[in-house]
Amino acid sequence: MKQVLSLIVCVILLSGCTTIEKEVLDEIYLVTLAGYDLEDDKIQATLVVPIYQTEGTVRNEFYTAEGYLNQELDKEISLQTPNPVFPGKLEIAMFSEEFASKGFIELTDVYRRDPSISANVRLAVYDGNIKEFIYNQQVQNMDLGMHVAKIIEQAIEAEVLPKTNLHLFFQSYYGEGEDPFLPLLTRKNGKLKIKGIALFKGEKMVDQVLDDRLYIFGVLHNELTKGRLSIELPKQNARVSIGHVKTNKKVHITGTSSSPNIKLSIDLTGTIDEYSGGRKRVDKNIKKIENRVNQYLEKETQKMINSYQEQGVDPFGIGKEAKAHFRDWDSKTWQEIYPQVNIQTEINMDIVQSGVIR
Amino acid sequence: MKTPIPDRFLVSAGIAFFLIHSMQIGIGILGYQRDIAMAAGYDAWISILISGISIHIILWMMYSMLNKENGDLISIHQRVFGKWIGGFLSTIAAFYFFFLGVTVLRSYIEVLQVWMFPEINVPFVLGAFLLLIYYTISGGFRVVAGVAFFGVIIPSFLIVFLFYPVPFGELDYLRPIMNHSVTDLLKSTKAATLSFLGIEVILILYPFLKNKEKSQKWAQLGVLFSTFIYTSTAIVTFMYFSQTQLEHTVWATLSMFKIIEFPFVERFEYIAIATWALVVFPNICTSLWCASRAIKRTYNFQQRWVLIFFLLTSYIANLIFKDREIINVFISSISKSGFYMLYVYTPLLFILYHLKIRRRHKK
Repeated sequence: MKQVLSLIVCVILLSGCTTIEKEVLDEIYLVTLAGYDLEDDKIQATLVVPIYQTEGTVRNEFYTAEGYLNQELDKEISLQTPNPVFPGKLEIAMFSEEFASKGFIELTDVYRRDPSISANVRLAVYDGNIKEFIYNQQVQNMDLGMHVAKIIEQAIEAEVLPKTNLHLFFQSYYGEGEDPFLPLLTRKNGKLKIKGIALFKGEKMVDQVLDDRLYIFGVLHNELTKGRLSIELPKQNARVSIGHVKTNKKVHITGTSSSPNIKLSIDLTGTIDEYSGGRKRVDKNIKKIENRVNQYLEKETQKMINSYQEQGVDPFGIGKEAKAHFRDWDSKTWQEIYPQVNIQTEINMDIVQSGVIR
Repeated sequence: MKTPIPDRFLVSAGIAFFLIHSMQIGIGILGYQRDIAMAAGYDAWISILISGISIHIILWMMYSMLNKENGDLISIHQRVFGKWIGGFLSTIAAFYFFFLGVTVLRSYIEVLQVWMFPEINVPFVLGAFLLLIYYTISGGFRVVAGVAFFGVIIPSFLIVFLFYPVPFGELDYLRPIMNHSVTDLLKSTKAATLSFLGIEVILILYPFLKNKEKSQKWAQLGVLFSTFIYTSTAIVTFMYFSQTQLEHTVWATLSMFKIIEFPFVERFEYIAIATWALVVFPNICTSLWCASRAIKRTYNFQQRWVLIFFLLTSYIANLIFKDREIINVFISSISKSGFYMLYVYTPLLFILYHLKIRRRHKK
């Protein structure tokens, strides 16, 4: 009897009739996009809240606040909203380029501290004024935060952008021998567009990769499985597009930790998707095309790496590779020698087939 | 004193696996990675293997005493130290088990507070938990063992989700392997052993196992499985976080679960934390059962009243110690005493016990 009684008491107690504050979904605002601009030296935050209306449509509501600390911004925004605002469904946080080049790490403290914020939140840099973009956006009947996040997600899926999110940003921000990067967005004809990649040195944005160079960046950064590469063949007076490009990156390190020799050898395999060389048979030119690709990519990747070495940024984590190789690797010496380190790239293209015609 | 426990109260030898394993996997696994990486960096997974091996040896020592004695810690204490000192040491052991349970309970409620409900009503949740514990333990050892069984089986689906963070990881963080001195590795081994605390319960619950000598195989397997879980979790964690990033992360395992997203589950770590109630619950139950059982065996009190006393004390203690710093001091002193109990006291007892036995045989 006693046991039955205590069981009943437990069931009643554990079934949720506790004093935890309930948050009914219809009575709270869930921020999906947070944009941060710098106005003078103040932070201007613009939050987007999607409002799901009874007829099934979505309307975006915007709130702006100015201040120095996140808490101040929250307070000012809470004065404007009819419902309490929660960050639990944040999809993307955008920072203006000006803000990014001054460093925004302090502001993101709350993103990492608050357990209700996902590790999958996207961070992005926006070229322009974010408040202006949000207030003039033309996305109809869709949650704006979700929309922007999906643009980035789609680009990652298509391997145009390397994987990025809140966690990965801080993984390389804190990691030794690597520097973080974020997608760089802009507006074109009133619509959002990926402009490229914003490169960071420590917490400050120092450089950008424009969209026509994203493929080179991708080849150097990670292994691609479905890339597409189009290239000019001056001798044949033709252009060729190679699809389904799979890359395989290997890092060979020799020498000592104070004077290392680093060779990035990247093997590519792909198929010819499109060839504008007229009636000339493409299969006879495959060797030439391969050589041309090797030559072109070697030149471009070398150029990219050397320019980053000059600036002292390391988005590809070459220092990290060296750290994994040398037992006496040391972060300080590496930073000193990094601009002078001999880094070679070697590209090896292999075209496996050229479609169903010859 | 030497009346054997009736058959109907015993559990089969295989349950030793679940009892030992569920005691070892508790609240520590949610955030042990930072502590072990403090000394040996990302070589610390090696220290887990080392401490796993040492735990196998300690467990063997315990079994070698228990098999000879065919009793429990209390009868071993009485044989080695006599009635008074032995009784005193048994009381200390009882309170150690009690504090072990309290620590786990307190830490779990803290996880709930930090991760899920900052405004949680602690006295209330604590009360509900303690009532449930009372209900379980008053059902007898077989119920405690059953809870331990389900506390291993049900949450085991979480192992699958350990693979989700891997694509976000960097194998390079683990290399070069063995880039730390032996001293560093041993320091981190000491930190790692704290995760393996809990096998001491075998000293109290041994008489409740059928085929007592055979159960060692299962208990050792339990330790092996814990070592496997701790090592693989550590390796995934070290790949997922860069080193400085991990230093900033208090609950590394939970933070890792944050990356898992499903269309129907926005935040996976909430499921993990809720499931973790099933992991810590048998842990607390077994500790408190051992505590009350040890007192009962030493002083011949009724176990139910001892249990009620312990539950009330832990309720009050949990409410008094609200300050994060006091809790930290408390937790670290418990884990320290656990460390000394395993690595200093157990070998000492092992030697003394076998000397005593040998001397008796000579006479």
